[in-house]
Amino acid sequence: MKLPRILAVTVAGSALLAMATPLSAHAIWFAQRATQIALVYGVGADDLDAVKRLPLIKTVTGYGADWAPVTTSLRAAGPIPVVDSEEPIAAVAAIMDYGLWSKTPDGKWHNKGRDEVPTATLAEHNWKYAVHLAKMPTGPVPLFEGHKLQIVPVDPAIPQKMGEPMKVRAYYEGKPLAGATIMSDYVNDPDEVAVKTGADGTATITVRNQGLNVLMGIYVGPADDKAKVDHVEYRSSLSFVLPHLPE
Amino acid sequence: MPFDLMKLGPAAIAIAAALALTPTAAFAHGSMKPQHGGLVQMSGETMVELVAGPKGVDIFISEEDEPLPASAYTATLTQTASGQKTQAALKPAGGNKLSAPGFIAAKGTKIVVALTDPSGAKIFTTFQTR
Repeated sequence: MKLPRILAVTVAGSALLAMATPLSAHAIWFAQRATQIALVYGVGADDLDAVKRLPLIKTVTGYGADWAPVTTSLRAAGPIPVVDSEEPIAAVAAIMDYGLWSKTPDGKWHNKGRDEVPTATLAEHNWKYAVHLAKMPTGPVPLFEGHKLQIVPVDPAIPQKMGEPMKVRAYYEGKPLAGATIMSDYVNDPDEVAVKTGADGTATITVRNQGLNVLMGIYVGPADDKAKVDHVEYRSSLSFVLPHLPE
Repeated sequence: MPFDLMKLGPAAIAIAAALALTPTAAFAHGSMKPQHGGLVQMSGETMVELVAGPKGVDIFISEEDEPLPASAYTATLTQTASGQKTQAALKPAGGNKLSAPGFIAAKGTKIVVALTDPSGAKIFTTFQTR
């Protein structure tokens, strides 16, 4: 097979895969871009247009090392939304209401509820949350207001070496959640076989990267409006960075 | 005499590559040695040196040992002492220096410098005064 044909097949395959990626697979997380903390919308290596989705962000909140609130906002810096705060932050969190989505038999998604798309085979409401620990916590990570689903490290002393185990707990509406999906590396391995939380809401993952780690919790909960959706899907990231060796 | 790495083989190429990479990694962000007798902190690639004296506070900014033009930046400093915060603007004072004349830095306090570059990107550096 000649190279151009390989490329053509690869491109076509990638395009089909992209089309097949379910809409709800996308999530939000924070990552460093050009020394700033940026809000990312995407899945895997797909870093999609987060600036155009800024109106969907309901809250962005920053916290100091003692979890005291720090005035924080998102600023569009070219094609990337970055965190702007009045003081240094130890953590930042965001909530995105991605709205109602209905899928019709032709495979198309519509940004409407089932009440407006009667032929829909699937209708859901998507909420996306992100919590980023810009500094290693010195105490328990609190549950943030409005984050219906949140993934929290059980031990604030997060492992500092990739390959080490880390126990997290999923909370839904402030209570430990059994059966939540926990992914350990949403950026580099979005197709991983994920673990589920146990009865106490905990799951143990392996810290994957000596760098950015984006854990993702996923929960499909009951419909908040049965006339419009079949269920509500929540995706909640917990991100942090393990340091590299001194330069 | 010039070396032909291809003739010397893969081991020589690997050694040459390692030698070429090592200095870059070791000095990727410049020296951390104070140039004005102050306190030095790095944020991202930007080095901030804070010099507190009886007449005020100065900062000097640089990247990879190259001075940055102070006139292109805006900056504030915030001192926290006994839970009380005092803030001052740092004004460009020539070269890579920004100054807050008259601002007295108390010993044993935390001073945060917020530096905003022409694109609007902001970095923070935190100093503990001695």
